[in-house]
Amino acid sequence: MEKASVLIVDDEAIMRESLSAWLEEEGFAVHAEAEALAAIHYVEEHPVDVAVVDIKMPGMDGVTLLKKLHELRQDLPVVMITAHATVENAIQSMKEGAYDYLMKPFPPEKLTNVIRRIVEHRRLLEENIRLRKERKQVLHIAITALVTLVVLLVAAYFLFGR
Amino acid sequence: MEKGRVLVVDDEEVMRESLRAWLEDEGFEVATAEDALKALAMAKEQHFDVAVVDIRMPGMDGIVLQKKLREAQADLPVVIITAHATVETAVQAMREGAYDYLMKPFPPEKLTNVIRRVMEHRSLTVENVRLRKERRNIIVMSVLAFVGLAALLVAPRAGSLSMALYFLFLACLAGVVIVLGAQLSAARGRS
Repeated sequence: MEKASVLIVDDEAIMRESLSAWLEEEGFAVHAEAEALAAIHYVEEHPVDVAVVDIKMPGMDGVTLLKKLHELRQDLPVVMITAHATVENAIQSMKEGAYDYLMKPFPPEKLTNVIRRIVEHRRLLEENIRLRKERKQVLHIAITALVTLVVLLVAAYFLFGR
Repeated sequence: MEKGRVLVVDDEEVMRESLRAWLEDEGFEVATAEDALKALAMAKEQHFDVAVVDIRMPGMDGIVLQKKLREAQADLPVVIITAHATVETAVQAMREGAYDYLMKPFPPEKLTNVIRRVMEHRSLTVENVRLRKERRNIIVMSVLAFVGLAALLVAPRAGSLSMALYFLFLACLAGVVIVLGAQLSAARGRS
């Protein structure tokens, strides 16, 4: 299976690097950006499965970035990272459509768990769309074959049956 | 979507009742248990979509309980509630199959969000199983319909061997076309 790609946006280098290292070890393809505008450019040009965004950043904050990312890709799951003081903002971001939020400090397993759930959910959604399409196609094929069979049978009846 | 059924297990009455009130307000059906044994008895008798379990309880703790709950209901997602001091245990619980954990104090919106995700995941899984079954049923029913139709038309003219073989050939051909067509569309969908 192709590696799920994760975008980390955090102005703290230590956080960016430690999360990148952890997630790469867990089997994800990771790209990290230090600020919001660079993250927007990255999403414009690359496929991203999950974005992990720190709420408190200089310049554009995480909640504004969340909205901008959803303007670009409405279905992009965004996980917010927050300090205790910004929990209210995190709840606000959930109302704005964030997938989840994690409060610092969090064990990295928690982030892995959230990302795995997102990837699994997307897989289920894609499978659902594919199965619906297949059901429609199978029904179409069955009806076409049935009509063809009836036509052939009627033709055979007139040709040999009498 | 149908109302989710939530089992809340916590020995602290204030926590239990406040979670019940919040979740009921959010549209879930809630049952509560004050200890692990009662929760297990309930899980054996009733269906739940998700269990919310406090990690620290007298007698059987949340970790042991989550395993026992899944013995009672194989695919029951369990969300663990933990205090800061027991985060390591909560991470361990996740490794052992808990769906997620929440650290006290948590805003109730966070719990609603987790439960909604569980419900979405569950309804997608159930729908996909149903769709797979439906696809298989369409194929089986179509092949049966072709063979039946051909047999019905062949029966009165069974005197002619070449006719019987011709009809049988058509029915088999139709069956092969349907099965191959279905597999082809499945392969195309996956690629």
